[in-house]
Amino acid sequence: MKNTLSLMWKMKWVAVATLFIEMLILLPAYFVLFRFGEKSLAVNLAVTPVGSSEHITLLIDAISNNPAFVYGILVLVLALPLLFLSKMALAAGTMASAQQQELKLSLWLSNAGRNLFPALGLFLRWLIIPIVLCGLAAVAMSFTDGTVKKVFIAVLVIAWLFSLSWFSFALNFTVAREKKALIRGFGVLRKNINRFAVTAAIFVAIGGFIKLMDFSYFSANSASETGLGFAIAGALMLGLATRLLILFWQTSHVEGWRKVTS
Amino acid sequence: MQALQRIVLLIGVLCTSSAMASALRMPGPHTDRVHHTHIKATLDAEKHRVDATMTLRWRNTTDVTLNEIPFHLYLNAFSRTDTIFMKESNGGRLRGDSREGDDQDKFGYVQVTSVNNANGDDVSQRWMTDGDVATYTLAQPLMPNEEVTLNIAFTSQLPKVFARSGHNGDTFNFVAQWFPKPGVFYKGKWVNHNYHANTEFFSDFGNYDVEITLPSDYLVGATGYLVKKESQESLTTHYFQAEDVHDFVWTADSKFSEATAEWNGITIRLLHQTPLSEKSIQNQFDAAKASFKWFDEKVGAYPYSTMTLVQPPENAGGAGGMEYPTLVTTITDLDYSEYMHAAAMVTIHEIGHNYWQGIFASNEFEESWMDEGINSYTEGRIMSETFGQENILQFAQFSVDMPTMHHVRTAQTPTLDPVKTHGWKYVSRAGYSTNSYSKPATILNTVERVWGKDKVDQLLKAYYKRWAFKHPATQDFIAIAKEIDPSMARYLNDAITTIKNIDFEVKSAVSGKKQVAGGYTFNDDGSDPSFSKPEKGEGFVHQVTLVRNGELHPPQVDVLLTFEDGSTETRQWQADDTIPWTKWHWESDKKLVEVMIDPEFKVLLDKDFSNNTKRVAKQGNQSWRWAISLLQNIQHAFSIALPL
Ligand SMILES: [Zn+2]
Repeated sequence: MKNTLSLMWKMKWVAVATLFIEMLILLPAYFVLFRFGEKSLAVNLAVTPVGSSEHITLLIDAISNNPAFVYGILVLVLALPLLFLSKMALAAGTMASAQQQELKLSLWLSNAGRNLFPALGLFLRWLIIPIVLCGLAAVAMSFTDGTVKKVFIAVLVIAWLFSLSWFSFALNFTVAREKKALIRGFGVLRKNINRFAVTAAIFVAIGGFIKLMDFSYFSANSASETGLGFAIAGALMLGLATRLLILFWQTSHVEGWRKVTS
Repeated sequence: MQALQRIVLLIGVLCTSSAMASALRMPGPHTDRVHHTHIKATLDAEKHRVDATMTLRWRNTTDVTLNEIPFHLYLNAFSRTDTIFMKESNGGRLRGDSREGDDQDKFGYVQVTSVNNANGDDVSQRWMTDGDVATYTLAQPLMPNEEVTLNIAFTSQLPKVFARSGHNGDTFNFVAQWFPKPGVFYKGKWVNHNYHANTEFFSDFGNYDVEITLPSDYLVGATGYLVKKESQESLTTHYFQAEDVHDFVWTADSKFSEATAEWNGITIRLLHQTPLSEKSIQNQFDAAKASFKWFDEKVGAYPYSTMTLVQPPENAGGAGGMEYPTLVTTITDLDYSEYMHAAAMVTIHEIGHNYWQGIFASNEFEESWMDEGINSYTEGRIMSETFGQENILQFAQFSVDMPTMHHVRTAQTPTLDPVKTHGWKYVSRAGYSTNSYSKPATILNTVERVWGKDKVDQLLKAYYKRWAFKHPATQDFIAIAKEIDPSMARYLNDAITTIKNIDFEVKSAVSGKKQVAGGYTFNDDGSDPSFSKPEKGEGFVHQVTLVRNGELHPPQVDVLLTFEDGSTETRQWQADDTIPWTKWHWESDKKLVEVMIDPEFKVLLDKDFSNNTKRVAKQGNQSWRWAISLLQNIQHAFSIALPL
């Protein structure tokens, strides 16, 4: 854990850089939706609090009388493939840099570029794992109810995290340009089952906390007294927290991989 | 001694139960009882077929001599693919359910096999069937107040249910619109329309005695009151009696379970599917009781002693959400949920029909808004006022109440027909449903918010007092409104009988520093004009242009003005009847930052609320910032689900 944290600290600028790259990709969508809101949805939040029936009335009336909202969503949807590809590339770049135990942003980006297609290939082959594992859990879930159903919902979540962990270990082999990444990734996962448990638990706990903060940020941001400054500061802080959490997941999997293979 | 006690007790119970037991909770007659209908029906549970004989005593309560009586043969709507019903429903697609294929068991019919007069003479040559209607030509003219008796034998083959009546291919039978039912002689002519996809109800009040024989393991629900049951071998006959109702429906299923509750002399019976949680059952009874309580207080008494709620099985969804006198169907999914209140809402809606359709018995064929529309309005009030559930949808801090839902539907449907239009003459199905449900509800919600709830309450009470059991029409409703408030009646009339619209808009709003005028000033003595520079003065000048797009505006509407220091002022805007815009020009010492028409959302008929607000200054409310947090939430959820 100490090693993971120190590796994470070495890689800290990855979180900041990724946050800004993602925001840049999503900027057009934010911009169009913001313009739509300013022009068509001039709501007085003191009179129509967010979420109230009146607010929803305004929102729906604005959407049905101005196509800008639909365009905003369209821009968002169009940005998603680009977002996914860059996430994939940057994750691979992060792994490669983390394996070298040092971060140079230019090297990180070139690692990202070099490893995009191998990482994508791995992702596509890996997909079968969550489809099978989560599919089984989902089938079991749909045939049960009550407490048993809740157990299977938990199993479903664990199956997903397990699959993700498998992918993250396998990605280490891919960026190291070694063959049979999926199979060897599983080998590493098996030897790191304790690390998986701890990492997943921390990830879920902090991830849950961030989502909770997200909701209260949403509520605070929806009140009429809060300002735009708070909105931007809050967005940046929560975005950074999310990126750091993901960096923790990634570095933990590099550490686990390094321990087994070196 | 003990035996004697038991006998005394038994006699006591028998006496009280027979004294109390009646189809009516408020002693009748409440209506002119045009007919007495006695039916003996036997269900063939395998074939989903009902064989029946019916004795109809029909009295001419009009002041005209009649030569014929038209009848509905509703089930024939399901007999072929080229009936009016099938064509209007796009081959049998209606209310979220559809006909499942072309096999014989998917179709149904009603066939009159014999017609005899009171003496038992065969008069079937006087009976002319034409699809889902028929005409009986009287042997001699029927004078006012005279009565005619007909003995009709008929077979009703139930279709596989997709629209209201039918069976589910298994044990569930919903036997609605199943017997030859006379039309109504109304305002000087017969009203006996075909069964249309959208509209079907209009009939005269009378009394029913119906004997239903079927396998003993079937539970039966029906209009009215169960007088007795008699079993013979594997069959049981159920004797039902209903008074002052205009229709008779029944249902039978060997898989029903039953629960009952009581509310002020009304026995509420739930025939439900199993399993159904206690909470869900209680939710249904709560919904029913909330309805009865509200109507009792706000409209008038429920005269009947029974109400049966029927939950159709999942594969008979087409039978769900329907209304018949003292028997209604719920939706198939009655599971209680904290977020969605559809299961209660539909039950409240259908029970409401027992007033707007059951007791008032308007011509639903031609003026469906008087039934569905008033009902959609009162259902919203029951949900919030007595059921304690203002919102139909609720998630986290988001909620949607009924008036909002109806406003959105109304605003999104182009206004191409008046609300008051014959059910099958609207431009589209959406036109029918908005004009029959959401728009009249929105009209009444608007009237409630503009003229006040008290006036609407007065209107509903007076309407019941004057028109219960009397088939009122649109103008009867408006005439009562006129006695309460002429401007309210005018508004109702415009909203219901025309295609007038309303969309308020703040066209422009400007607010700037006051100018002290400058320039040349001419002097009396003829010397050169003196010059002073124009200057900025103290205080601000505001100019606001308000527009009403459309004529359907109430006498006045509020306008909320917000100033730079956060202070507000509400002004009344009396829109002009001839010129659609109004310009306000005034001065004050604070800068105006925002103008909002109708800040309390009173005029829910407004086609677009989003143009009701205009901001003078950008620094007003950075309202859209909540969108940032929404997108953030989504983005983080993605990132955490797939940690890349
Ligand atoms: Zn209805």
